[in-house]
Amino acid sequence: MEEREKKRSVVPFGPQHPVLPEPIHLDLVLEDEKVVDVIPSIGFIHRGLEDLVKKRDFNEYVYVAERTCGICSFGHGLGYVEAVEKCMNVEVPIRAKYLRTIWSEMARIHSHLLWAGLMADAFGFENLFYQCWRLREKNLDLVEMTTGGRLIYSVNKVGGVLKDITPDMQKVILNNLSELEAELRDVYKTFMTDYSVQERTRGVGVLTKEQVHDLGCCGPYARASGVARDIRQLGYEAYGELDFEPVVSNDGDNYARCDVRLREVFQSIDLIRQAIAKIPNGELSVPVKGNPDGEAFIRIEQPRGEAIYYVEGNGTKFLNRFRLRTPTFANIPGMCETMKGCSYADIPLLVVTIDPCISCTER
Amino acid sequence: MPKTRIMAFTWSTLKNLFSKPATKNYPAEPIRYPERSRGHIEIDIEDCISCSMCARSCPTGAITVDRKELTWAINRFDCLACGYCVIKCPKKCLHLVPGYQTPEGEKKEVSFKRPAPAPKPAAAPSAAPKAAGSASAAGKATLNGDIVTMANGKTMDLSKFPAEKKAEILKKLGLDAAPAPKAEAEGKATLEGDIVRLPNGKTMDLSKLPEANREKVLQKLGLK
Amino acid sequence: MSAKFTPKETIRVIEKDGLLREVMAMKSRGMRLSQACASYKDGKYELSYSFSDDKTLDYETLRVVCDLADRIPSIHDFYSCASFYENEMRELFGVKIELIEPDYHNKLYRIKAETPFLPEDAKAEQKKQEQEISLSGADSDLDLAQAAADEKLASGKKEEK
Repeated sequence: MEEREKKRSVVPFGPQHPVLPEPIHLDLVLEDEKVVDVIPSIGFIHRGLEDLVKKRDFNEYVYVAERTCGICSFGHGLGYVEAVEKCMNVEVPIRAKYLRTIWSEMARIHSHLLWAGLMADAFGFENLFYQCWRLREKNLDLVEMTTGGRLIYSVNKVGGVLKDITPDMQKVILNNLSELEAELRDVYKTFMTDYSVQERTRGVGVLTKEQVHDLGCCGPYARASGVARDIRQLGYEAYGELDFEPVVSNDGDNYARCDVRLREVFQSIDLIRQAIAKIPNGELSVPVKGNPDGEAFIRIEQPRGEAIYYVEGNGTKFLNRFRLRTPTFANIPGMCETMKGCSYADIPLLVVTIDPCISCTER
Repeated sequence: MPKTRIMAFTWSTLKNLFSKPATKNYPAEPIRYPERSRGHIEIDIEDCISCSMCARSCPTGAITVDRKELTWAINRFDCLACGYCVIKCPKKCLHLVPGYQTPEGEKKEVSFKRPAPAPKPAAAPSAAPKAAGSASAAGKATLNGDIVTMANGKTMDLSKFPAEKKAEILKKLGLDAAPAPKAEAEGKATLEGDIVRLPNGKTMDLSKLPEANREKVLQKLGLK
Repeated sequence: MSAKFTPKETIRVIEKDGLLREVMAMKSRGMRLSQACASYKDGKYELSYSFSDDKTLDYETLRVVCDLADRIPSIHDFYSCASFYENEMRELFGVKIELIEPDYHNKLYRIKAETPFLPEDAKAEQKKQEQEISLSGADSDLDLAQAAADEKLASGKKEEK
């Protein structure tokens, strides 16, 4: 008897989908509910921000670089400013470095809590989604108290920072973080032990350590597969003086990725406490003279992974080139690889586990 | 193998059900912004000098400055509240204050007009001394006692400076050549013992000068 | 205390013809392709391929300085994730990279303008250089391979119809 030939059909996913925070299009090649191949395509929100360096001078461009993305905005401002400072050999005061570290960790907490909420929404657990975002509001209140904005911080400038965190604010930060940590334990317990969550996440989307290396994945996505590498170990800003180890898990599936990201929130709270205890007195910024000339590469650890900033100056106040390689750009091939062989219903979850930030990817 | 529990979120759910809501009852309850909140830009229009530094530095181009009409306009819907114009303004007349722009149907600009600057004193010759009148018409600085009036109308009080600095300034402005005779034209020098008091306020101790020079000075000042 | 790293960060200029050999050397050393970008400076393209060592966090960048009409081979045989970077370089800057897999045919970012990051005078210069090359009739191996790949694609489309 002849076996029925399996026919392939192509189903488009996105760019509009309830689970996606930002538009990405995937062409899924299906054989009877099993995905065989994935062809990603991006390009819905390309704004050409990298070309704007020719029209906005290097001091003003910080405000453009920050607005590349709403979730990872502090990291982009920080990376750009660090790259220009390396190009011009500017040494930032130590207090400014500590302040930047504190804000960087607050940005990480907010980003991971946002992701946890989206993940819970993706597998249908709306109650948990709202609880995660409720905790995130506590973090955003702290950010607004210290910088003035909830998502866009606008505190970086070439040569230092613009605002200070006073000792009163530091007390408020420590109190609020303790409350946040206590409530986060409940959320972490639910993510890790709840039966319905485990059914949807364990054993789904497995990536081995070798695959991660070949595909060039980075960040928590890679750390969940056993690659113990965190770019904060480079010691940029004040990270060289803080004590931490990369958060690693060995399973490589969606469950491990939830675990790694939530444990990183606890690690960030701990890092903020360490930084506030050690922060020295000093100036907030140094004056910067002249124009950038030369080139510099900077790597920082964004909440989503390793982000690379390349700046090339030519002696005028307009830079020649600014290049921003975001972690999602590197994780998309990994995502496509995990989808091959999985069932159609798991696709939304697999897209959300890379923590897609498409507006960074496309700039 | 991690633990598996059914309904692990129940306790949190019950807590949320019986406690105060996390949301604020806006607009019944007014919003309280933290003091550093970046909302919108306000300007002290009397201090503005229409230099356009803010308009040049705005990343979105929300500010327009018209030098002739003496206006400063901002499109509040384009403004990002980044604060770069506040940093760049040389007169520090811009402030970033809490309070966001309410949503509206159309984008519009808000315009402020600053008062016209006072007319320059050099343009009013009756105020300045006659000797100075011709010089200012030519665009030079003029000296009136201890006050130097520049060609652009600004004034400088020389009595605030030490003697050497005064002499330097007068030399730079080209006023050192004829101060003595000009001063003479307005008032006379007076002699008190060995101290000569000049009309510009300076004093000179004749006992410090050699005999021959003393005579010359007194002749010049018309005191002998 | 957490481990301290003192990574080496180097930028090395290589020849366009030696690109594939260098990339093969990087792959055999176990380096991960970190990013690839293009830049236009003083009438030439500057391509940067950056590789990172995950054990020591060393960062090595290979720099290829080439003319506007030079043909660059794709490195997707060694690093399959290079396709996005190469498509982007071709679409935004007009760098002639060939045999990219998968090839988005300048539709990765779906923009209306052609090679928007390249200045206008450079576009004119690039056309002039291309004409000179085609007049001189230099058909490289890459050319023939690209023609074969295009033909395969066209015949595949016909089959589907």
